[in-house]
Amino acid sequence: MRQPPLPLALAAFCLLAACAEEAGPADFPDEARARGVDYVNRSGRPEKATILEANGAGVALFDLGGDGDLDIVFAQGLPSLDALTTGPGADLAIYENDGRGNFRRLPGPGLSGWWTGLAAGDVDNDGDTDLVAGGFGALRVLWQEDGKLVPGPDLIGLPPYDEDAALVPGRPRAAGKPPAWITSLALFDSNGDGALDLYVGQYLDLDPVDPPLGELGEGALAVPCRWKGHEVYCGPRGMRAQPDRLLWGAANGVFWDATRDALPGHQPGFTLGVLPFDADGDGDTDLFVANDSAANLMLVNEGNGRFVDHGFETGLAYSPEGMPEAGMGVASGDVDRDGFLDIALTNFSDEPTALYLGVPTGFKNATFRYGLGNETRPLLSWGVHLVDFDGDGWLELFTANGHVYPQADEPLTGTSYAQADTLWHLGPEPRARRFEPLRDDSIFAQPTSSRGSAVGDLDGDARPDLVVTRIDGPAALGMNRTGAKNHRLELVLRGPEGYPDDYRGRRTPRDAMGARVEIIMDAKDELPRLRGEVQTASGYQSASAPWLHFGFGERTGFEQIRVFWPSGATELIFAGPADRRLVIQEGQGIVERRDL
Amino acid sequence: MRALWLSLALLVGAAQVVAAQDAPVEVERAADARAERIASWREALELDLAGEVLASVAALEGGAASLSADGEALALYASALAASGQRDAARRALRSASEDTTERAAIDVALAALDLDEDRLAEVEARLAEEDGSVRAELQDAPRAWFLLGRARVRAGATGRARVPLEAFVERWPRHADAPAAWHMLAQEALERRDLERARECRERGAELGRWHAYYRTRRLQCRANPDAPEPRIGLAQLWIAAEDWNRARAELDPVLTRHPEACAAWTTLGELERKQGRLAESRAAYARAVACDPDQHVARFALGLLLVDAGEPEAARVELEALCDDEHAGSDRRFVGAHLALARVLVELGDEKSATRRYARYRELGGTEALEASR
Repeated sequence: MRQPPLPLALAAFCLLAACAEEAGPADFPDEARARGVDYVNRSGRPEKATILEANGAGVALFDLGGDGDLDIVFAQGLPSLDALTTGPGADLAIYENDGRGNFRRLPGPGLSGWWTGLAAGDVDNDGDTDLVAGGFGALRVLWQEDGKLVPGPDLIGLPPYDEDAALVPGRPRAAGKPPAWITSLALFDSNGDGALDLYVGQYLDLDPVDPPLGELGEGALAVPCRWKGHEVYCGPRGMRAQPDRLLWGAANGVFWDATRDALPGHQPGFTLGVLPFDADGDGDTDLFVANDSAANLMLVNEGNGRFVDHGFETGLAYSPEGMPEAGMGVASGDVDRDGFLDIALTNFSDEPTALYLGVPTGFKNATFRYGLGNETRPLLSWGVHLVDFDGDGWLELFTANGHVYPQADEPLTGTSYAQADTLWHLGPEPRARRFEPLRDDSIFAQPTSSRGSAVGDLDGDARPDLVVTRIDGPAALGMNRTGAKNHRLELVLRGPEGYPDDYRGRRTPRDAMGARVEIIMDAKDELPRLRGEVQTASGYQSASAPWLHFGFGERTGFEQIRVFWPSGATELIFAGPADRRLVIQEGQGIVERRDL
Repeated sequence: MRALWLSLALLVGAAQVVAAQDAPVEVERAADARAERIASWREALELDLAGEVLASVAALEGGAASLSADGEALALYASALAASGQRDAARRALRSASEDTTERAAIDVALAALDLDEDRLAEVEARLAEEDGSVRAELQDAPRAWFLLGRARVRAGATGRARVPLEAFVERWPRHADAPAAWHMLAQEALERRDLERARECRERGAELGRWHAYYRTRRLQCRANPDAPEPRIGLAQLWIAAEDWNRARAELDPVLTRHPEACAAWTTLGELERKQGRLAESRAAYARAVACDPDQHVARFALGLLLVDAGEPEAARVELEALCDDEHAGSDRRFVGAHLALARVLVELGDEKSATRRYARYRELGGTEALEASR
């Protein structure tokens, strides 16, 4: 049962008052500690002797308790690789929002593992958001029940996998049996049946009992694990990639492994990032898979939940020079407002964060034309978002940065272990302009070592905020204080209630995953329309809020909103003012509106 | 006294003559040292070890300043600086080139590479191309000028204009370290033109070359990690054989055979090299040496057996092929399935139909599809 919107109204009042006082610099101050988020990531030892210890954790933003605000769940690792065998394992860390962006830690769901990636969505179509947590040897559904996360099915050993895929901290384990290593997850509807499916990104075979140290291979053919002349942890090159999986869901929490049918000819490729989005504009959801040191995949949906890789043909598989890069995280959005969704893809240092603009025939690399090659080359980036943070109608590019090798701080590497997170304006001029932090407590001011990140309006001011996990350190809450004068619109979409067993045909999921929105500001105006798509999986190992944020700049209203539901229905909403949160339900139009 | 002066004068004169005679030797030595240094810097950069180049430059008498008249060395030094995050220093180093710098083209290309790193795409075009878009006359023999011009155009979105320099690049320098990237860009250009067949061809060429370079890189890393071990160098020789560069294959192999005659795989590789060059007697000898060295050199035994068949020596061939086919492991190894057929045919030739039938049956059992009679 959804609670009455009183807390939201209160929150809105308080925040409006806060806004009035908010004459400070337009920035993203880190208010994690002040707002009660004391999560500190653990990810092995600081020297990072193995690759597991370098990849960090994800974060999920979703409404726990149905009170209309965003709560936070962090994945968590362990202090050392040894702890995997000795136990105890880590639990997820849950923080409850009081509606004003202040948080209180709740007891975890009682899991035990080394957790990495999180996915959020209404798995059982009951109207609230559930969670799927992936880890090193773990894949667990967590039901939302009465505002709590309750452990549900364990999917790690789902056939054709067996019990060796699972790793339970503290349970004795023989050498030579690497568990399934889950990285990014995506809950989305692959086959249009209204039930969420789960794409499971997997990384590589790492034997926790006998991990490779110093070199790969044996004898005279051993290759030392080195980077720029420094000894570093081994992998991913030279190690065995694990294949990804696609699990089809039945809207009741039951999943089965459909990989063989749904991903024919799938080639393992060290997956780190997964992005569901409608790449070709045909109304179904496609998948981009960012692979580390291997070709990326552009899995185009044939309309029935079966995917064919068009990575090469769309120009997304490799760098423009044909090199497989270390794809980490991925995000989409219409950067140039031409009606085609574009992609931002984070990579290793010396490999620029890539910007691919959607064109009628696929994608065209625009990294260097936007000046991102020079800007991003020293950065090793993970979480990534294309979001209009400042509300001017043009997207910004956020990247969460931090090197994997502590040895990056050695002289002459051209990079560093700690790196400040970065934000670039990408429009209206087609050239990246870096956002310069204006205050010392900005999340962009201090070099840190970030990994997962998620976007959502934490304090109810319609401005999308940032939550960033930092490896071996405290998480950051970058509270968005930019674009105070710009007008905005926040949309929350909902699919139909219930899930009839005998239903055959395309159907919108209850949480509207896959719904697309177009906003026409003024039909007479040449300014292109704004676009958005409801998806939670983006960035790296993380889930952002499903709410859509649109910046109107100086415009105070819109002429039309078009919603393209996954069921195939199109819904039109006519002229309305900005600075509102609108809840739109399929077939019923606006069912809730609230001034911001 | 006079005699002493005369003696001294003679001695000095003789010394001068000797010095004059030695001068070309010293010049030659210096040139060799420079070539060796350039090669090692180039390899270090290819292996992402820019620090080695910087350390080597620092150890030179006169340090970086000593490079001002050597355009190629200066360009490599600048590349190392850029790879270490010191692009400004790289630019300064290139500008320090003296008026009489040799290989001026290398300086221009290195500056273009820096421009490219900084997304100054128009500057790359201006630096490398004539007004009509062709590669500048003085850069015609600089492979990276062609490649970087193509790359800049691709990055600028002018894929069609990248085609000419990239096609010329892969044609003139087919095994250049940047050739896989050039093929990939040509594939993307063909895709844009909807020429799917050409795109596929370019993609396959690029992928094949890319694999080769990946192995090549790994082997060189292995050589550095184990400088005295024969295995990585044998691997390098095999890569050069695959690339049909017989001289470089031999250059890798010869020292291994001299220093490690016990490295049986080296003899197998030598057999392969000789065979590819049509030197069948030498090939046969090398294969025989490999098998004598290690009876488990199955590739050598297989090749030796086939050479003996071709040489019209069925009895000798039978011995080798039987040894291979009856081996516990090689006998069921699908890589050697042809040995069973070859043996069956030899047995037919020798009149042993019964054994031939049995060997042929085994060949079919292992998945062979050719007819026994085909060779007749």
